[in-house]
Amino acid sequence: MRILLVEDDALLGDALEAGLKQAGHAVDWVRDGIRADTALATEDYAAVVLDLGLPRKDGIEVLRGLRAKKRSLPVLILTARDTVDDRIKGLDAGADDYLVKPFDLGELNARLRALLRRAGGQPAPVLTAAGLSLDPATRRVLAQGQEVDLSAKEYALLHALMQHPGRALSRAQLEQHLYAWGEEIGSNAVEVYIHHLRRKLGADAIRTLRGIGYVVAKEAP
Amino acid sequence: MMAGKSLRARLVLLTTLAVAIVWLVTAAFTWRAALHEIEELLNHPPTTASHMEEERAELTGEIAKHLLMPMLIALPGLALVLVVAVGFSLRPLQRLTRDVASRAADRLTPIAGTDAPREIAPLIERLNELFAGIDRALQNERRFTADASHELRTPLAALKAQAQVALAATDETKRQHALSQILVGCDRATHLVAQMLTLARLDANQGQALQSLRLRPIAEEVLAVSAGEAIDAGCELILGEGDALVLGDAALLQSMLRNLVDNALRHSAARQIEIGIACEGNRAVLTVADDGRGVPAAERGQVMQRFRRGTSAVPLDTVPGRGHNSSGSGLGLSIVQRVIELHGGSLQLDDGIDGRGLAVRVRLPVSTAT
Repeated sequence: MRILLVEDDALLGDALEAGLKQAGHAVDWVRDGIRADTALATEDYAAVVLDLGLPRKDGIEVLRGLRAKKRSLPVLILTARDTVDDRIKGLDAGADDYLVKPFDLGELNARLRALLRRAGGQPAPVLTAAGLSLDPATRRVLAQGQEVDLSAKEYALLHALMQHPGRALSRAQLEQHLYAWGEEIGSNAVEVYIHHLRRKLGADAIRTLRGIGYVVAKEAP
Repeated sequence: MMAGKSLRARLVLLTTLAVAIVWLVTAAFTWRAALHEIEELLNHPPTTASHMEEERAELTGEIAKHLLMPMLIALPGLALVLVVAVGFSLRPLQRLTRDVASRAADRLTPIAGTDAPREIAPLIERLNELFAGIDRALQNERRFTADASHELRTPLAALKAQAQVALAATDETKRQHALSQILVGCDRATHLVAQMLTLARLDANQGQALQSLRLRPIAEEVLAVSAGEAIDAGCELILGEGDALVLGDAALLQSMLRNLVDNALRHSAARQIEIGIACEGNRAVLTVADDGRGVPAAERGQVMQRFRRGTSAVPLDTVPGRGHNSSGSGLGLSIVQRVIELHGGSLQLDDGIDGRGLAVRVRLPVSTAT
């Protein structure tokens, strides 16, 4: 999943970027509210991790602006102030969840998973599709009950497709999911990963819709 | 109740009145008895010597009795009147005692004392001053605690997250990076704690006597200490001509100037930092100018507003255009602000060297001592 990280503190931002990458996300890190606005306007993110005390434009303002544009992507706010008022203000401004500093990286990742799950309309923590199951918490993927070993990018690609089984994603959309800014994108990288996934999961796990993109079939009812 | 009257005057008045009434009653009784006896004596003059002796004893006895009797009867009454009068007069004092006794430690609202007697009014005034002072100190303390917890949360979050990244890292270079970041974070937290202690001391310093001192030695000392860091950063430190005599505290002014120089050194990527000292009428002007990134003129107002409001920490390093550097504690401007407050000075932000960067001007009252 591609995550926008908005954090002005160099040390914390660096750690969060590394931690979110470890969890298999593509991360874009911006350090102020204005850049966050620009990133949100131009890129497609699965979720935002937003610090509230930001230079140039406050986190709350960024959040209000986002919700005013009817954008519903999940936003998790980080706050150094732990008064109930601050939390209420954040949630009322449109945040989906919050964490008070200092927090546990594991908890941040778990909350993000929950937010992504809800945003994808998936009530169960484990994503399932025809013959496949993917557990975002443990990052385990089962194909026909057998555990499959996937690379980080292969996993991220499958995760994106399984978020909405039955809905096709274009190559460009998948690239958006996989790569953060500044990451080199091979011209046929998506094709290569799809090829690897088919080899590991079975040839018909992922179908190609010519001219549209790729799709994972819904679980047979 | 006699509003605002003297307690002493009221007591003296009441006592004198009571004594005067008893005295008048006694005098009246004695006068009547004496009159009666003397008339009887004139109507029936004594004929014999023994009769004469008898009459004299009777007369003096009657007078003595009438002098004593009303006194004996009136004394308890007088005492009662005095008890009531004194109790009545001391009611404002009792009310004050009740008010003070019933206060919780943190209820520091002023005591209402508009109708208090003249003897108690100064006490209430002093108490209210004391309450106001304690209230200010408590608010400072609260502000400091809130700031401290707020300021410490971010570095703590960074330390924890970096440690967790290091633990989970499978790549050795990534682990090394996270571990070195933890060290940077520890240095930063150490600096932060030092800054917070400076702030706490500043708050405790209220009302300390200021001395007449020269600014130049202070600037020289600060620049000498910062020289090493400036060389590492490839930045030139310049102390301009001039000196000024101000009324101040050397340690506090040094701490303020060090924060201003550190801020320019660490957050503006300046190649030059110039410190100037000048006199403008009855104000000494201490300027720290740099040629770094600066703060856009439009956003200086915002900084000044937060500065004047003096609410929570106003870190110069979270000011627009100055990235939150890992060495910034975020308390720098709070310290500068408190020192300027304690010296009765003011702060102004301008363009820096050759119209680039930022110039921070601190105006302090000059000392008139020679």
